[in-house]
This record gives sequence, C-alpha cells and structure tokens, in this order.
Amino acid sequence: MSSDDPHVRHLGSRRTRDAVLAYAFLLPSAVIFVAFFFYPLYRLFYLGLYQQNRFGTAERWVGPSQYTKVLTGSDFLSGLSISARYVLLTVPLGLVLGVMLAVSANRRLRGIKIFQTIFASTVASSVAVASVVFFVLINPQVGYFRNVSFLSLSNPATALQGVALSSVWQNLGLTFIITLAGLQAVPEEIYEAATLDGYGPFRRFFRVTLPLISPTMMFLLVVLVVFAFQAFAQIDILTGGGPAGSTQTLVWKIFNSQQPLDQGTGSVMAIGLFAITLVVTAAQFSILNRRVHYGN
Amino acid sequence: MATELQQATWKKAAWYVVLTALSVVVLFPVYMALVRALSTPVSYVKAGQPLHPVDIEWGIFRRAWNLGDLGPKFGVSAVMTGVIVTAELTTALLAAYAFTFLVFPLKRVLFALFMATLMLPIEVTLIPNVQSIRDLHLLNSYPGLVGPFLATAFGTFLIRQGFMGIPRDLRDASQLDGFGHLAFLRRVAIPVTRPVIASFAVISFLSAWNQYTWPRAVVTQGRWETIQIGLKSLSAAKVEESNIGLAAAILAALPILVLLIFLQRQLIRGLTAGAVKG
Amino acid sequence: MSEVVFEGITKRYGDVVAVDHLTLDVLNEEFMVLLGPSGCGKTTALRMVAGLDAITEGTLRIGDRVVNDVEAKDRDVSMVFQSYALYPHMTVAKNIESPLMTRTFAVEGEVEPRKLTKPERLSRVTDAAGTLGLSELLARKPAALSGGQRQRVALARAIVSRPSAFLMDEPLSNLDAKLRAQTRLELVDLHQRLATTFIYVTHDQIEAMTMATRIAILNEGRLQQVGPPQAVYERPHNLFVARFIGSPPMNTIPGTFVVVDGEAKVDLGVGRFPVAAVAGDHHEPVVDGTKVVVGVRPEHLAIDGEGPVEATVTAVEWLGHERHVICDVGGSAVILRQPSEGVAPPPGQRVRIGAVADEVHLFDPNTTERLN
Repeated sequence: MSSDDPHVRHLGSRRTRDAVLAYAFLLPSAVIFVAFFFYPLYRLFYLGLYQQNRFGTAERWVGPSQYTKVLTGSDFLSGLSISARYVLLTVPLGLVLGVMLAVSANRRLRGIKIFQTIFASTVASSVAVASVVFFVLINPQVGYFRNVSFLSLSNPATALQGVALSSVWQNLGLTFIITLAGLQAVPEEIYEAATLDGYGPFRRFFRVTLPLISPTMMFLLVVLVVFAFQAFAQIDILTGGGPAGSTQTLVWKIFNSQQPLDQGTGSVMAIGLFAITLVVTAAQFSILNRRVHYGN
Repeated sequence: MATELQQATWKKAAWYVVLTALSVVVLFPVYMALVRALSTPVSYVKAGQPLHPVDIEWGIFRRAWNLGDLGPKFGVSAVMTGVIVTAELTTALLAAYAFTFLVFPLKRVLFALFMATLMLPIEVTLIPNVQSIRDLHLLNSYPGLVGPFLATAFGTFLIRQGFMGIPRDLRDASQLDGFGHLAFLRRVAIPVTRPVIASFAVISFLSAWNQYTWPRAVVTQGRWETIQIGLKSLSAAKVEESNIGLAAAILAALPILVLLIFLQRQLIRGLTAGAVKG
Repeated sequence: MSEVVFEGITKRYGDVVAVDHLTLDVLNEEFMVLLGPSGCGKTTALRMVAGLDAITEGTLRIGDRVVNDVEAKDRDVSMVFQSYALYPHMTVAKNIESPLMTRTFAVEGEVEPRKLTKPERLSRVTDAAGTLGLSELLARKPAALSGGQRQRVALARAIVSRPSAFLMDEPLSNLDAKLRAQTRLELVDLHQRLATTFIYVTHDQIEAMTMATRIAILNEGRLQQVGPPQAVYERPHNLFVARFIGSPPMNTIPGTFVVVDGEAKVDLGVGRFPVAAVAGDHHEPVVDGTKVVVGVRPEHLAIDGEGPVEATVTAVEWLGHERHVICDVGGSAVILRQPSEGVAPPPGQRVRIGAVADEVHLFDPNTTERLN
C-alpha cells in the first residue's frame, strides 16, 4: 500500500510544502521592501509630526499642524511650482520630438538601423553625464549657447529652461525607443487600408497612427512626468539650486532637508511629493483606461 | 512629368535628408562634448569656439583618469552595479517563481504590496532611508550603496510575465519527469525565459550604473564616490580644466554605450516592456 | 504492465462536476480509448490518473496500489501531451532523457529502486530513439523538427521510463490527415510491441474505432458505455453513443412501438419498420404503444420498392465510392448509404425504404436508454 512506501510522497502535504517554499522565495524581496520602502513610508509620517533639534538628540511633538503648515507654506509651494514647471518644460517637447524621431525612422530604407541606433543613443547617458555634456553648451562663461537668452543659467527666469533642455535631450533616446516600438506594433495592413481609402500622409498620421499608438504614448507620458518630478541630479550639477533658488525642485528641497533640524518639514514635503505622484499617475491611468476602452 | 520611380527616389532622398538633420541635432551635444574634451580649453576659447577641436590633447582621457582618480570610482561603480544586478536577478527570479507557480495564502495581497513599491521612488523615502543608513554606520560602504536596490518590483513583474508564458503542458511534463520546484526553475523556467531575463538584466545594469541621487546621499568620502557622483566635482573645475570633466563624463558613459551596441535587442525589449503589447 | 482501476472517481471544481463517479476497469495491456466531445471529462480523467489533478472523490488504483495521494512522478506512468510539451531549449536526446534524470527506478537484480547512472540512461535513450526512428535527430532541438518528428520525440520520452501505463492526450490532433492515418498504425504496432496498458484520450471516433481494444465513451463527466469497438458500434446503450459513433451518424426518428398481428414493429407515421429484439439488457420487454426513438444506421436502410416506409428524397451527396441519399421521413431527416452505381433518385421523388429488422434500435425518448 502507498503509505508504506518511503519513496512515495503524499499529495496532501504538498500544499504546505509549497506555501513554505513560497514564503522562503519571497522573503529576501520582502525584507528589502519592508526595510527600504514600507518602514520609511511609515517613518515619513512619523517624522512629519515632530521637530528635532540640530543634533537629532531630542524631538518635540508638533502634530498634524506641521503638515498643514508645510504643505501650504511658501517653501513647499515654490518647490512644487518649480517641479511642475519642469514637467511642462520637459514632457510635451520630449514627446513631440520623440514622435518625430520615431516616425522618421520607422521606414524601410537602406541604413535605417544606423539612424535608429543614433536616435536611441541618448539612452546611454546617465543624468549626470547628460548634465556635464550640456554644461558645455549652456554654461554662462564658455558655453556654446551662452548667448542664447532663453537658456541662460545665470538668469533666474531662464535657468530652469536651460536645465530642462538637458533632460529633453536625455529623454530622446527612451522616448524614441518606446514610440518606435509602438509604431512597429501597428500592422502594415492598417496603413495600406488607410492609403487605399485615400488618406494622405498627414491625415494618416493624425487619424490612424496616433490613435493606435495612444496607449504607448500614455505610458510614456506617465514615465516622463514621473521622471520630471524626480529631477535632482541635473539641478545638482548644473545650477546647485540657483540662481536665487530658481531651480530648487521638490526633490532638491527634500534632499537638502536631511539634517535633523529639517527632517520634520522635509518629510512632510516628501509625503507631498508622494501624494502628487500618486494622484498624477492615477489620473493618467484612468484617462488611459478610458481611451483603451473606446479605442478597442 | 516625373515618373513613379523618380518620385519614389526623390521621396527617399528627402527622408535621408530629414534623418541626417535629426541625427545632427541628436548628436550635436555629444559631438561638442568630444570636441571640447579633446581641445585644450584656453586655446579653444581663444579660437572663438569653433566646431572643430583646437590644439588636440589625445591623452586627455588618460589624464582625466589619473587626475580625477577615476580608477577607484569606476571600481566602486562596478562593484555596486555587479552586486545590484546579481541581487535583483536573484530576488526577482525567486519572487516571480513563487507568484507564478506556487499556491499559498495571501498571494494576491502580497503581490499587490510588492507592486505598490513601484509608487515609492528613492526620492520620496530619502530622508528616513539615509537616516537608517547613518544609524547603522553604513554611510560610505557597499551595503549602504546597494541596500534599497537589492529587490525589484519591476523585475519581479517582468519575469513573472515571462514565467506565465510557459505553457502549462511543459509544467505538467516536468512534474511527471520528477522535477521538483528548484529543478524546474533551474532546468526549465529559466532557460525557456532567457530573453526576458536577459532584457531585465540589461535594464538593471543601466539603472544601477546611472544611479545618482542615492549614492550622492550616502557617500561623504571621496574614496567611496561612484563615477556618476564623481562627475559633479570634476565638472565644477575651472574653465581651463573643463576638458577633464568632459573626458570623465565620456568615459562614464562608455559601458552603457557598449551595452547599447552589443545588447541592443535586450535593452530595447527591457525598456519597452509594459509599453507595448506583444 | 498494470491495470488501472477507477472506482467512483469524481472531480469537482466548485459547483462544476467535471467527472461524475467514473467507474472503469482498464485491463492490463489493453488499449483503452476514452472517447467523447470536448468538455466531457476525458482529459480530466486522464490527468487524474497521471497525478496532475487531484481526485475529489473515489479511489484510483494502478496495479495493486491505491494512488490517490501518490505524486505523479511516483506513479510509474508516462504521458504524451497534445502539444507534445517538449522542452524547447533541450536537444532531442536531452528531452528523451529527462524522465530518467531525477526519478528512481527499480533495477533488475537490486532490491531498492535507485537513480540511474549516466551509461544506463544513455542506453535507454538510444533504445527509445531507435524504436521511434529518431537516431539521426538526437542532436537537434524541437524547433528544427517537423510536427511528426516532434510527436515521435514525445513518444520516445514516454517509453524511455518503461512505465506501467501510457497516457495519451489527443496526440494526433496536431498532425495532418495523412500523417494521422500513418501514425495510427504505428501506435497500434507500438502498443503490441510494448505490451503495456495504453489509456488514450480523443474526440475522434475514427481513432477510437481503429486503435482501441475497448472504448469508453464519456459525456458530461459520465461514462456512457464501455466495450470493444464493434460492440459499441452495433449495440449502443443510449442515444448519445448511438449518435456519436459512426460516420455518417445513426439516424434517429421518433415513433411508436406497436405490435401488429403478433409482430413487433415501430410506427413512424409514414410506415412501420419491423423490429427484431424486443427485450433490452436491463428492461422488461417494450410495451405496445410506447413512444420510442428509432435508431437505424445509414447502411442498414435501403430504397426498396416494397419497403414499408414512405419517404421523399431531399438531396443526394455523391462521395465517389458511395452516395448519401438524404430523405424526409415524416418530418425527420434521414440519410441512407447507397453504392455509386446506377441512377440516383432525384430530389423530390417519393420512394419507399426498408430496414434490416436486426438493426433497428429502440431508445426511450426520456431516459435515452436503449430499449431493445
């Protein structure tokens, strides 16, 4: 009988063994996630309720009023408006340029792969590299474009624009790659049908291509907006937050609130950033879902 | 009247012009960076900043390497990246396996929690995380550098998608063949989904090598600077030495450039995952 | 080299019953075909034998062991999947070797089963490959093989572990018609050479009829009938089996059983067919006046000037070697088979049809069970 045979394992205990194995497999990731994601999230809320002294040795309870004070305060609001401005500067332009590159390179020509590699190449540069490279172009003393007034890094009104240009350039590669993939996923027959229906190239693009790649574009939109809200390295390298604090994005402010004295307010700002990213992403996804339902 | 062939040829030529123009725009910053890295800064400015290099110093890359102490920085970046990629692959493979092939209580809740971490970028959790690292005396150390990046929800998601694509028949056959979970993972699941795993590995490498914000927060000693944060100090030099910072930046981008050229397919697949169906 | 016994085997998924108290004895060394339409539970039953799906109720025996709780790898069975389930990244040789890598086997002359050594595994692989004509293809990967070759690799992988029973899940359905016919013969030959129990699942009754020693017909999770192909064909136990087996299918016409002048007949409204047997296996003799469903196979009907039943021809299909004449018999469509010679009756013509008394089957319209 089966129960006597030591080589035979029983199906009943398989469930338990599988569950134990599953938890073992998930444990490493879970430990990291708790330690560096969930626990810090909790800590943010906690820190936001207190004000610490300079050395972090003592803390004073401030309570939820610190939240309202910081979130409506000029520091946070200015950081938010600068970040928002950064989004508006980098995302629309980035998308349009990326689409232009992708549409141009999505055709059968000899050597098209070379062009495709060139267009994708900015993906190789990190934010730091892109910033250093752009510094060459827009640095106020010897930058090649130092006389281009709307990019000037020494003018508080335009400094953010100069920094934004470096991001637009850096994002070209990623935007190109993703948009091209979206274009290539459209079956050839649809273009042929549109041509047979008498659509000219512009009509084809706006009435046929664009709607069909809209899910991809929405995805890209979310990605680029999140990137823009996270802007830090380019500010750190190109302007250091200046001139006159005109490039101090939210993350910049958060980064510079690491001292115990500032941790309370910094944490509230971080929560503000978190909430905004959530809301923006959620809003985009709900639009995306509506689009997809209508489209398909 | 232009024949159809002539029209087609004109059209082609026009596109080549457009593509070349766009390429120039895309490559211009890199080109200028190269020009100014190779040129001697003072001579270059004196010559009115032409579009070609002036007074070329071919040894600038070696000089930048030495002056900027790039060796150790590349070393730190390399070790950090190596550890992160290995750790991410391991944790993601195991987690993805559990979520795909194992049945256990709270599976859906746990998966949702895992994916929720995608909403918590390092910039948001910076303050408490840096404080933790400080409290554990792990500033300026590899554990401090790699900590938050040892697990990955994106990787778990991607590899899980790959695992879910394995036909059920294959699992059944290996059950009959007597493969337990680890044997199935090693002998079947991983080899069969190798393209997805490779794509993720490339993305993981890219992301780890390019990290800036977190290393900037947990490194305070020069010895521990990664190449990315090393660029900040190198680029802040005086105008006369601006070519050093540029040369360093070009060197810093080289590994990824190599990746782009040799592993383009995997890179693209990894970047487009989730963006495009199929 | 074992029999497989289903005792009241049931499989439930929540409220859905996929297999309903299946009781079936698969004899040692027989070629048992589980036949039925999609969703009838045949594949689920097979998977329960393999150990891939858990058994909700009932007892399953392989040989003299109760195997309900035994893991798939320890049941000493092999399976050939519909899609072949070959490991795409392994060579043919490695695919065939895979069942031998981690399982233990009883070795001649040794008491304890153990893992096989590399030479032992290789020798079995060579044998299996040779039996299926794969010796030249051992270094290839599945992607480089044709459909027929892949199927043979799946078979080789199944035989290499020398199991007590072979389980096959519609292995021919992905092959083209010609290859299918050829492979049917090869499978029957393989069965005879291996002298091992085969349990074969299919929805194709031709496969069942040509290969099985016995057929078990399932519908909606329940066993309808089990028996040798000829028996199932000649004496279907219910309407489902009657209509499922045979191509073109058996004609079924509503009628009334009557006894006229001491002779048993069935009244179709437009005439009466004689009925030979009147007592079923489990029932009392049929009562005069009972409503029945009459079943007659197309080859047992003939157009006969003296036939008792009136019909009108509605269409004629010519198949080359024979004709199918489709008639209207009192509102029901009926097919009869005729040889191709001679002139076919044109559509619209009134004809008279006769039936062979022995081949007139009666079924209860409510229970669908056989009455005679």
